[in-house]
Amino acid sequence: MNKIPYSYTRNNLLDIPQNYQMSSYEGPDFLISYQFSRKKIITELEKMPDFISFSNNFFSSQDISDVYEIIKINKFSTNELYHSIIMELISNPKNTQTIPIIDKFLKKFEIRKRIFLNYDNEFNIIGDEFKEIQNYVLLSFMCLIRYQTTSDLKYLNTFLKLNDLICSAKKLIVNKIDISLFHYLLTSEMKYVLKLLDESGIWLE
Amino acid sequence: MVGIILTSDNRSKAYIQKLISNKIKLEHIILMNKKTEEKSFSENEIKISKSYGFDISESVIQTLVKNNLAYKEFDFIDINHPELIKYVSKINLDYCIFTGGGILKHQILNLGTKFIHLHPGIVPYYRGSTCFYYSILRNDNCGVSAYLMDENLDTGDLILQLSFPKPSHIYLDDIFDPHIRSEALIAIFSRKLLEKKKFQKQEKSDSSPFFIIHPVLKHIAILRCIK
Repeated sequence: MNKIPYSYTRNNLLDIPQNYQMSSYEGPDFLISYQFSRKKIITELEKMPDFISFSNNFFSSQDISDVYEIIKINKFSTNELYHSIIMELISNPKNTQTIPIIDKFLKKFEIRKRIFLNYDNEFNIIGDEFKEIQNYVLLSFMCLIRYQTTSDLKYLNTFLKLNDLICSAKKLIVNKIDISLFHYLLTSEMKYVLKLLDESGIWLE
Repeated sequence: MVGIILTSDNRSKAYIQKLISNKIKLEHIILMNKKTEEKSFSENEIKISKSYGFDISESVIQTLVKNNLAYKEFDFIDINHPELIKYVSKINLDYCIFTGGGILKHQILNLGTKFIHLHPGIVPYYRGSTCFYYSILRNDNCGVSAYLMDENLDTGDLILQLSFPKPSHIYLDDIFDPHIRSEALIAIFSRKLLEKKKFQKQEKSDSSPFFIIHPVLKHIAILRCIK
């Protein structure tokens, strides 16, 4: 049994953002607690009535505009943009054109820990609504695809933070696709953390 | 003329103590001090810091007083504060070492004094925050880049870059980070790099900066050091 609870998902991070500054070192038990916490949520997601295994086909049938058409709009929908970027990433993971846009949103999330419903064509926030959980799930998926393509740790880093936030607000995940996608994100996250532990020669008891 | 802006943090402790022990004299010492309570350290932390050439349990003020060093004290920590800008413009320094982070605004950059920052990462690859953890995870080492600060994040002209093997203890934030930065600071003076003025433009890079490391990655980096 883990001695220290994993504290980074305890509060709803949509309400109380976590800045992760000067986080303390708690020894190897911390990583066991992290794994325990993630596994618990993975099991909860599997038990949800609408749970089905994730497939990239979830995104294939959608009729969505081109990324660069969307960002020209004065008030664009973040959700529509994210769907469009993901479809582009899935069809061509090495396409570099969308990377600056992904990096822009990664930076926005890292600074404010929030993703707003709408932005203008200069990426300024429009409105004050930021509790659409699907946007966090979609940005997390983009981070995963980028990490799988590049092994760049900055994507794994933001991926972990986004997943903390989604875990902390898991009651908002009700949509069938979000349930399945978030399950896939968490299992992938654990796989890559285990890989990094393995490459580092660290074995947890 | 060279000066230094200290705060009361561990980095400033390492900088000022190593400057003194290496007999490097600076013309002006500025201390930005909010007078917060000093953190206490374990015997092991003190022992490790001493093995690196500084005593983490000795406050910056204690060091300055013990060595009869004159300093100008401000009760705020803000590199862009108007009072600080006014003072720096009056003392007319060529270079000023800044121990803190953040971005310098127009007003302070336009004084004519060149500000030196020691960043714990090899730029342009490791820009941003907590970079030494990322370089331990990827390269098993840590780097320091000393550069002249400009308006952007970690993009100024380079004075020197040094690499260090990863440590074999867990005190990366409090001890190892101040240690490697202060070693680079001493190297600037011992190699007379400010007199030579051979500063290099940074390589162009499209890579975006790193952000504060997630605790899971931080733990893996630290466990990688002590395994």
